Amino acid sequence: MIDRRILKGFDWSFLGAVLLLSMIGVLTIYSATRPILETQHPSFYVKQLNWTVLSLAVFFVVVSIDYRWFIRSAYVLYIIGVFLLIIVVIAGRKGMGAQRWIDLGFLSFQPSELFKIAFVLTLSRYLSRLESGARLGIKELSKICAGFFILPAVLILKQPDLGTMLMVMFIFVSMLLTYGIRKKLIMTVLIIGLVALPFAGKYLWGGLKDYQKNRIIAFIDPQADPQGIGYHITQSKVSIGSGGFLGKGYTKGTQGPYRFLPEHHTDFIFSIFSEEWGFIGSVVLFLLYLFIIWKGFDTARNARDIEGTYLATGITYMFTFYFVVNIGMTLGLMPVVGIPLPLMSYGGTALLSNFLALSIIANVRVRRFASYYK
Amino acid sequence: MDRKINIAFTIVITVFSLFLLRLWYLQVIKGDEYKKIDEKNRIRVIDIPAPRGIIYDRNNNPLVKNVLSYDISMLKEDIPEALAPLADLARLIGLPEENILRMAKASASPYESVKLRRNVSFDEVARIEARKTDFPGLLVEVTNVREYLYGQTAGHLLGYLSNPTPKQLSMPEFSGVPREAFIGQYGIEKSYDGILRGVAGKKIVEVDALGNIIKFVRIQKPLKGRDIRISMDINAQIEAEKSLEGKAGAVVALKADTGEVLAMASSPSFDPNLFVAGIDQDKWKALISDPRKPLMNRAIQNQYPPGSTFKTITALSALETGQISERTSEYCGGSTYFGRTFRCWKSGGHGNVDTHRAIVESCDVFFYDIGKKINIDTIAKYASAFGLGRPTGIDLEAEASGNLPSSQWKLKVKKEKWYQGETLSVAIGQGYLTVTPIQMARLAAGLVNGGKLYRPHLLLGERPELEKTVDVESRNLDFIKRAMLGVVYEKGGTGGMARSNIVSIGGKTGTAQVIGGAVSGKKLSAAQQDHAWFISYAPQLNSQIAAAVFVEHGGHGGSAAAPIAKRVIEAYFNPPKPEGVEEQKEAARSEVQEVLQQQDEQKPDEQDLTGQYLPALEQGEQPQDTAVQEKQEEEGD
Repeated sequence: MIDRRILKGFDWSFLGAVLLLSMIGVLTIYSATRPILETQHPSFYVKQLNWTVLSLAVFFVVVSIDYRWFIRSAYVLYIIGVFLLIIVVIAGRKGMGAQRWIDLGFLSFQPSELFKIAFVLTLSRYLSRLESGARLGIKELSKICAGFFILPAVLILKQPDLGTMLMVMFIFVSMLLTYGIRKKLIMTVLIIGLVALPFAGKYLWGGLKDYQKNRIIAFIDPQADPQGIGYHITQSKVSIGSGGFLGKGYTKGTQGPYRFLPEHHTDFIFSIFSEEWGFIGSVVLFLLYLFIIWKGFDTARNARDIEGTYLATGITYMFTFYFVVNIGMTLGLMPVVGIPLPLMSYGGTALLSNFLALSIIANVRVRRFASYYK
Repeated sequence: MDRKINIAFTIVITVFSLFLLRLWYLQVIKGDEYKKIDEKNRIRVIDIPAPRGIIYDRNNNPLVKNVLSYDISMLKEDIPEALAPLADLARLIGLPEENILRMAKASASPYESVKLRRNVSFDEVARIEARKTDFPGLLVEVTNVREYLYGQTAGHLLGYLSNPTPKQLSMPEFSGVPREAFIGQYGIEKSYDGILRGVAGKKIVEVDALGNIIKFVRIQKPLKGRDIRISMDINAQIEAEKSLEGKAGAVVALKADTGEVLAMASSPSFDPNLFVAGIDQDKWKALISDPRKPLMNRAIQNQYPPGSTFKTITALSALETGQISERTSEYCGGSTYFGRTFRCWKSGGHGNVDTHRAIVESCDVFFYDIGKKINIDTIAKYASAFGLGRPTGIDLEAEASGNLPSSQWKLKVKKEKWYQGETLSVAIGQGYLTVTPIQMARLAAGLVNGGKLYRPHLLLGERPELEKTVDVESRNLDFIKRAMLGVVYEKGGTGGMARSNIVSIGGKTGTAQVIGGAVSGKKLSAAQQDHAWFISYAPQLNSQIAAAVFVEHGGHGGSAAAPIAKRVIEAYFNPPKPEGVEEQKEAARSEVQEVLQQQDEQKPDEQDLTGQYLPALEQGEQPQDTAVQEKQEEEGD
């Protein structure tokens, strides 16, 4: 239960930054979906606002439960998560060429979003209880891979959801690196990887779906077919670039409402924001994200126990990765991968899972001094 | 642990810095460039075609009009590729599937609008509109198209329109002309395209990614093209074309004292309305491969020997240089010898003929005798003075120049000297000499208006452009003109079929041989038939109209060409009103008799004056045909 001392330690600035970003998100969704020829304003922004309120409630509920309870339940949550992934593959709803949703009738959600959090919890629990404390060797690494990674990875690829797959892989690798892997092993894997890449590349490339190949081609050379596969990247750059230094002004952007930029209220929300607020606004936005990431790492450093440290680090990695892949994509620095911008992109499940994840950081943070009162 | 977190945070800071650099590059360094692309994204310039100027005839009858037309177009990328919807679309718009595919293939960009059909009827538009939702991207556009009110009539003269060719688009005179615009490509439409065209307007609009117009930024209204009036008289034109029906040939009628073109017909012709909707391949191929050459304007492009019509010039040059006089008389026995035998068209011969009778009866031997003496360059000098051997400069393109032989020409082109024997051929309008109908019409005008050579023109409102006044004795001109009246009205005259009840007509027949030395009595095939010529004017005093008629393989000028000239001239003067007809006839008769009387005094034995063929209106002397009066009033402006 939350007692007063814990409440005193609650970091309001962290929640403030999170709420500010999600409000900016709602406002940008409003602007991006402005009706131009129609009279009815699409209700995306209202839905997003509702989800924000719900997410905020969840946030407080999660903060009130000591994160050690989650650590204790990590494996159960992990199994539930994998179970949901299996359901998706068997009976999920299809959308946009992939099968990612579970339809509950009143709402549909992506289990992979929730699975990522369970995955971080599981790894945190496992790594914090490793007895040796020594860096990981090949034997331990294989064991962890087989135990936690392979099955969900296969299930996610089956959907297919390349973005989430990369995300889970990144969390996995970065958390293991944070724990420590033998240098020799890292070097060996790197060298084998580099040597094998040209050969494996062919099979990897062959295993990709056409739309995935197109995205990579478009990333390498958007001019190859600016009206076709390179269209997203080109139009995103046009949106951002035309914003200039000061931006066109709120609700003055055209790329979104005129439908030149597809996915303008979901994956490409930053392009719309940047078009309207320019370089200045984008810098401020970046600083807000950086502030949250910094708070995350700070929480990890100051956590009262090693579980808290792993938990905060893992969540921060996840959040950072979301941000980097999304912004990298809108800036034309990375291939188009369907990863939303955390807190701002339209999408209920994603927003909720972002709040859920960040509430775990807040959870660890609020209890950083609690050990003294054990 | 802390160390690793610090490393991670350092990496994050690095990535952020990289992102900021990228942002700076996109928004600040490249910002203006992307702003332009952004504008290009949503700003569209839509051309508004300018209504073309209307073309009126000399009596203010509109010859063309602009009508609304409905065009069906579709973005290339929206054209269905699957068989079933394609077949469905083909049925809806009434265009074969393969044509749709061919048109789609022809357009370069997938975002280009492909014009599938032009000039669709209103009923069809209604039908298509009702099913438009089944075919996203299907558009019905409203444009202005030309309608040629008289169809085939004056097709060669009015010309036709089409989209500018890529070459034209790159020319400065067509700058600002939209690719979709229609510009004059032939005839008057081409000659005065600059006046008729107007200036296309522009609609600058903001569109969304699907091409929906979101708002109008600016509208620049089109400037309507200016109307023009041309000198053609639609009644005379219709009559000219009617009288050429089923034949190949040309009629040119000029206003004798200004060079204005009253009628210019070329047969076979084409209907310029065919080009309105963008002529389809099959029809175009049929037109250009037709052996009768319907796209050739014979009035200005046909080059054939003038035959005996040229005897007017031969006689004039011989009179001017004193080779003959009005009283010169020769005996025609049917042929003459000069190195070889030269035959007269009348195998029995004309007997004794003087200069006047030689023209009236078109005696070849008389003119061979001139040809034996006269220098070819003398003939060339007078022929050139009357405009032969060079384009007349009419305001239509692609006019031919004909060929006027001289000793110099022969040296230069044939690389040998001129033989006098060849002069004999030229003297009767054969040999190397070739002319166009418009040249002959101008020549006729020059002969009867006191030797004034005007540049023929179609645009009214221009001052008549006098090229020169030929330096000849007016007595000699009068003599020729009197002989030309005799051709029509005297006994034995070769042009008797041009005699009119309304107006006095003079002229000269011509029969140009297709094959040399035809054996008489032997039937000639159609392609070997002679070409028929008739040059004419009316009325005898103060001649207003000069006309040349040419009928390809028509046979004799007197029978094939002369009646056509009469019809056209009568159409110009219009049938007189019922009241006063007798008076007019009486007045005309007395005029002709008076003129002929003067000759009869010299040659009383030749008199055969046929009172029932009558002619002629003398200006100012008697009540005039009101139609003529109107014409004269209008010419003032």
